[in-house]
Amino acid sequence: MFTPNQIFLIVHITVSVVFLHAFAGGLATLVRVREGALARRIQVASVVGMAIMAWATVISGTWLIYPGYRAEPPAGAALEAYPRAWLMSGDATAWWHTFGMEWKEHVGWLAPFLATAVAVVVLLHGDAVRRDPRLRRILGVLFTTAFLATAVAAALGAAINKVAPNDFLLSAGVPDLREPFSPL
Amino acid sequence: MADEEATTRIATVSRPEPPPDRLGGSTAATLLASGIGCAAFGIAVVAAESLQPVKQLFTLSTAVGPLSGKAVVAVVIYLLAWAALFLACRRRTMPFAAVLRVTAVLIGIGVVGTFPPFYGLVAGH
Repeated sequence: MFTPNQIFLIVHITVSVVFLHAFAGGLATLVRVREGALARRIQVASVVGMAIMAWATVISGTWLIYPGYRAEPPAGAALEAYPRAWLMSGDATAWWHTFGMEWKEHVGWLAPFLATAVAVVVLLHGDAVRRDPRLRRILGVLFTTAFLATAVAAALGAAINKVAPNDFLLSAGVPDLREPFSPL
Repeated sequence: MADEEATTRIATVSRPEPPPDRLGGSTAATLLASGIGCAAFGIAVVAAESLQPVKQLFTLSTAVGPLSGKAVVAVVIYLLAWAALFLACRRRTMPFAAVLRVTAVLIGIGVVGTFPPFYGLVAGH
């Protein structure tokens, strides 16, 4: 049916898409204050959900997808199953790793810190958030920054998926994360 | 009516409202900690790309590479900073503008530190 790598990619893409699509709803609850228990529940669910999705996105991307992307090919192996090596093997494609993937793998990690701050403040100080427009503006800026960081990472990921071969997704094996590090 | 009021207070902490130019201590701690998390990650990226020993130190998993250490170190710093700031500030109020400025600078460090041309320049790539 699906290989483990395909399942990991589906999980990673799903949580990141949920994060990106929930942004507008979450931001709306900060921009426009609505009174009532239902509005409060929607606001809490939106921002807490986005924080959870942000963590799920970076954790799944870093520990489940990235190892397959960066795996080193054995001598003489076809590079189609090794996206990073394939990109770095050509002058025209190396930029997609040295700029595209490098920025993607790093900038996405800013989102969970920012989304968590928004979620915690809304969760613990909901009354203050509703009363204080300055606080709502700050949270809105943090929320938007988290969204932009994730959007950059998602766009680069989609582009790299088109440029680089991703035959590694069809491989039944997954990298062993417990493999001890041996200095070069 | 009373029921609705009670449910709107779910999970909120009622405290005396801080003055207009101040921010509640726990809110300030949360915002500052998010900035510290971003800055820690940005600095970890620049350090790993510039210094080979740091890159090796950050390689907690051969499969993931130095990104594993950058992420773990930044998250640990973030959680420790958050706990320390929360304990230090929870009963106080903080100047709104100062918290905002410091948080913005810290997030800026994170954004710049994760941008490949910047850390490439620092590392001399």
